[in-house]
Amino acid sequence: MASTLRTKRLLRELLLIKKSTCKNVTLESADTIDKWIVKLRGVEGTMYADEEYSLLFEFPAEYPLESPIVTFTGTTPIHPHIYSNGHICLSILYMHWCPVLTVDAICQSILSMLSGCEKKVRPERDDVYVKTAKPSPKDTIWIFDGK
Amino acid sequence: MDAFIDLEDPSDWPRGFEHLRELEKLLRCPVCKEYLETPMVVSGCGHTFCSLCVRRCIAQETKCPSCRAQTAEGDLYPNRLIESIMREFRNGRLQLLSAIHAAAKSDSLNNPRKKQRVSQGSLQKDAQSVASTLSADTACSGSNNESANSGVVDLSSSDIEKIADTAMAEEDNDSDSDFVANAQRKRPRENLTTCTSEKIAKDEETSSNSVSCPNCRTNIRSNRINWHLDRCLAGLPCENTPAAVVSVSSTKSQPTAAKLQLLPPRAAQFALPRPTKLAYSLLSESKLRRTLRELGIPSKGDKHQMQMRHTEWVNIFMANADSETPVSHRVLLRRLSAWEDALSRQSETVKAVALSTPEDIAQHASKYADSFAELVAQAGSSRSRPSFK
Repeated sequence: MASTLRTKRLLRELLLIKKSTCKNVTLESADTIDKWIVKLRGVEGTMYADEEYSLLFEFPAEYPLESPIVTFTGTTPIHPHIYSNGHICLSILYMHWCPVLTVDAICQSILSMLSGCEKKVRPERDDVYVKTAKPSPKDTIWIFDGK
Repeated sequence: MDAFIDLEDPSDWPRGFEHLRELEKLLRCPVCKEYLETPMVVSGCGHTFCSLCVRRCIAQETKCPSCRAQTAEGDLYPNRLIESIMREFRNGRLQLLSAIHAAAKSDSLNNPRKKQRVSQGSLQKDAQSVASTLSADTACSGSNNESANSGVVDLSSSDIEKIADTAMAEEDNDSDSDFVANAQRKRPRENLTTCTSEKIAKDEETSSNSVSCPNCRTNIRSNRINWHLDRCLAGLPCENTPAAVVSVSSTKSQPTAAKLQLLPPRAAQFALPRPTKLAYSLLSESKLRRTLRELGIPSKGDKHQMQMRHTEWVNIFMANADSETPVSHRVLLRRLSAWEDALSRQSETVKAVALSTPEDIAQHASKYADSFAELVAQAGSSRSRPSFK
């Protein structure tokens, strides 16, 4: 929809993530404006300390009115809310997305989700989900517990 | 590319000026991250956004973009105070940043040890003194301007430049976009005299105490408005009566050729009907096309395209109506077509990425032939097994 809004905002966010001094979130590559790979580094003192994972961001034409598609690529962290195909069960990526959220906000949410983990396990019925899931996690109907 | 380097950002504020950084963040729209344009406050939750941004969000989903509280267009109210605060902040921003950088430089030169503890207080005191000298000296010279921007970004990395180039190619040529405004800052002296048509129109309005006629939208000097309205409503010619029309030369600032040219001479006569929201599902394609034609906007394309265009037009139109300084409907039409151009370019690039050449596909198939065979074998074996449920 608002393509100039999208381009301007993505450029600004790209700039911010490049300039960011946060050690846990770094830009790995952004060959085009609509597809970025961001490297996440587990927070010190948590179960994922010093582990590195790559997050793939794909921005739809309607971004930021619509949420980006966010998945882990390569090795996926073992976490009760992260499926082995990289899909993440996080409400702000789907039905609780709001346009004021940014790439950085998403990264911080995922980091805090990792940090709050008490036991490294895959989600229940991970194999079933991985076999039946559509390529985009946005096509999955998620049921969020809590809150 | 230049425009990208000049991108203003809250992170331009150096260490020790966190309050100003926060202030700038607050004066930016949470949706587009640009300075608030015609800020509208959502009654109920009290969040503030650009008029166009919040209208686009609500058109998509009737919720506040910040807190997801139920929101309709009727819940939006203009916030003029924020608009004025933001305008003043923007005017002082470069001046203050230049002063800060100049002060920091002289500070480190005079007393190298002091550099370690550049406290906020001392910097601000220096900033004030430098600001006063700066304002006397045509606000900012080229070198100061550069020093202000030098802290902005280190964009030497080639990848980001590449992305910016392609992205900027996609960008439309909207004359009043921030990028253009930023690019103009390259020439600080000129920037002080030439600015966008909207700003000029605003200057005209405020400095000459004029009001816009509610009937024909011409700018009329306030003491002539009653006389003008009588004639205007009676249908008598009053547009070009010299006394009624605001004379440009009466403004305080020096009139320039650019100013005279930028004022659209026939803008007042060109007014389009106010669009309303439509229930698209209840309209046939031909009926929607007729509505678009009646509204004076392009009526080409299929129903989906017309629907998108109409939604955007309603948003642009209403946001303009909210504005303190509305632009003419001609400018709005240009923005609509620029928006549509950018949209079609974007979908083209997406298609180009998706549809690779046959060679690519063949290459891919040969590269992953083994994996494919393996997958096929796996699929065969799992089919023979009973369902995993």
